Amino acid sequence: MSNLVSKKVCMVGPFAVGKTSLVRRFVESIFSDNYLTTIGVKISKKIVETDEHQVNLMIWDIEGVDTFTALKTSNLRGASGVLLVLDGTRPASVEMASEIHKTLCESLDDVPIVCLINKADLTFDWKMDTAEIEALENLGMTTIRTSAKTGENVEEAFRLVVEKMGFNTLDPVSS
Amino acid sequence: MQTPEGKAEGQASSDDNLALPDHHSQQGVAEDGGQDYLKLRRLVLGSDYADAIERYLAKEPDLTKLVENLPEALHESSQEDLSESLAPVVDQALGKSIEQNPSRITNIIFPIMGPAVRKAVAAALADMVQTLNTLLEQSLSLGSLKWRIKAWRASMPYAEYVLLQTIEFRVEQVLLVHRETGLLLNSVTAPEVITQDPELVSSMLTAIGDFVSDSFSAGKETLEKIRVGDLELHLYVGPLAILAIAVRGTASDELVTLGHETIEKIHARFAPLLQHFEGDRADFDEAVPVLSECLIHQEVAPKKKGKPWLAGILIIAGLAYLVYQSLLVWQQNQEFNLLEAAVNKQAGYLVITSKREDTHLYVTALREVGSLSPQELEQSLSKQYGVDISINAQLMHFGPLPEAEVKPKTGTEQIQLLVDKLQNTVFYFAPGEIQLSALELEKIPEVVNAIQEIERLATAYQLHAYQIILMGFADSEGSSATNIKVSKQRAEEIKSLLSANHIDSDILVTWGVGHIDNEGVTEQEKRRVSLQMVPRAKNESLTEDQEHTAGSSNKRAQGASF
Repeated sequence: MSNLVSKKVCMVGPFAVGKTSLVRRFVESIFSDNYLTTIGVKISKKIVETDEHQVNLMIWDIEGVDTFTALKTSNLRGASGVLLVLDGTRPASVEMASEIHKTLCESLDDVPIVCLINKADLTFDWKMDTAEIEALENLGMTTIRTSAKTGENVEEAFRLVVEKMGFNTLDPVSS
Repeated sequence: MQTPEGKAEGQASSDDNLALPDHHSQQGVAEDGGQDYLKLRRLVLGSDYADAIERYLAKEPDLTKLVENLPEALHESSQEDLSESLAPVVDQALGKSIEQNPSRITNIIFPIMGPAVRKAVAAALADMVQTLNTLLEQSLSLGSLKWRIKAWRASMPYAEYVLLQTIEFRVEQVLLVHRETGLLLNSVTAPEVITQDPELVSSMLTAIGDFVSDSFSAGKETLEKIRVGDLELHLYVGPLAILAIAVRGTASDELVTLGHETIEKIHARFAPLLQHFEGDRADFDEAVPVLSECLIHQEVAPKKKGKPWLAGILIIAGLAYLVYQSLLVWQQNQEFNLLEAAVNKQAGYLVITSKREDTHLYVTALREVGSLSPQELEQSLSKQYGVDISINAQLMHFGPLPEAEVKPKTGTEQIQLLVDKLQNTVFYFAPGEIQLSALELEKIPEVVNAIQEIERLATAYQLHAYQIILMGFADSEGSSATNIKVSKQRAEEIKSLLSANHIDSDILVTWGVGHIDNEGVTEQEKRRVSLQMVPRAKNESLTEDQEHTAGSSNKRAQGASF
């Protein structure tokens, strides 16, 4: 117990980018095509092993935002890390992401943000080009392509955020 | 043993330090090469110096000194530090001691072990008996059956339902949540309560609290209470932490106060840790005792014990009333009985029926002529018994009518009565018998008396003379000739008996009828002799008349007898 450390991380991003699916894949190793919109917050828990600690991630899966719904900052309070999830098949993602990023920076000081570009399995619909990814990284985020459906990079993405919190995971993610 | 040595070393080294200046000076002297200084020292210190050197080299006196100082040193040292450093040593020493001489430790702990084991076993047994009792009580009583049904209807486990029924409220879980992050700091749970993952619950609670505050409250108000069915969640929000208390049932004010006090205590004690919380819950392990204080419960006040008093009083009152009433009824019945007996005892009264209505007795009686009138009797009895009585008495005559009341009869009437009596007399015979039995013989004097009386009356009133026809009959047995013969003989028998009793045989006519088949008459009744009186004209020839009369009387007799 002594080396168990609890950390709050938040999943944020536009609607239907796959935040809940990513959490389910990460926590329960399940993927379902059915889309159920998240209302409010859904909280899950997963322990990530690091060299010195067991990091108990309390994952706050916050409802998706769009142009009409602003991100509720009260849910972000006390977060140690944020996973900003985007949909790689959607064109306007970057603008949305920069908007969310701005909100995040305003309400959280110096918290690592990892940008997950999800739905990597849909290669034919992929619309995210290198320039856009660069633009995202210029905001100060690390980006990672994930797929909740295949499980690609899902663990890695969470481990990445844990590492950025200052822990050394047992199987470091090469970014 | 390590530590004293360590201490000894420490002391030794401090002595060493004390000696150092000398040492240094010695070196200085050696460096200077001046013998004067050495000389001076010898002059000043004398033999003390040599002693000090010796003591330092020998170390023995130090040990003595240490032994002298050790108890004081132990006393002076911090108890916590000492026990911490001594603990492993004592532990090891104990282990070795037991290994080397197990019987010694056995002897020592024996007197303690016995009572301890007994106490533990007794406690366990008492617990078991208590559980068994409760179980039996709850499984077999009618109330438990009701609870079981109710629990089934509420689709909750029976045990939980019982708890609900017997406990007013119970704190099931206490969570201490970091306000900023919503992370769980610590939690305690009441025994046998199944709870969700407290970490998820605490985060979700924070999220819900934030949601409610954001959505419904413009200011800084926070969610204080959530109620789900019979579960209440009380939230005591401090600036740095939230205390969440899950209560089943309705919490008392006492609990609310306790909650506030607890969150204040937590803040007072853990404020710096809460401010710099980095997710390490181990820092809050010490909060467990404080949180556990909140795990209180209040049992339902035993209402049922209070109730029986009232019920008991009511029942007793009811019983007393019943007893009183039945006593009254009994008393009245007794009075009625006495009264009835009194009416019965009253000369000339005979009670036929009596009816009781409330406090009134209605008596129907027969009363003799010359007895007290009903009204007079009523009055005297109601005075005597204090009960209303109504007597309806029918005037009746008991026993033979007084002579005065018998109407004088004419001679014919008197004779008619005797004739009726005579004609109603029948002599029965045993089968085949022509002699009368002793019982039947007893009828003879009566018949004789009646005939003589008729004779007397007839003479007195100068009425017609009479003839008596004795008609003999026989049963169906035997031939008709025999039957006629037997019946004739029977009539003759009666005639001879009457003649023997001074009845004029001239007026007695016998006739053997034989067997007459009549279904209404039994065989026994068929063997008989009946008497028929017929008037006789004074101047009529007896023989002719006899024939005639006998024939007609036969017809009459048949009509009369059958």
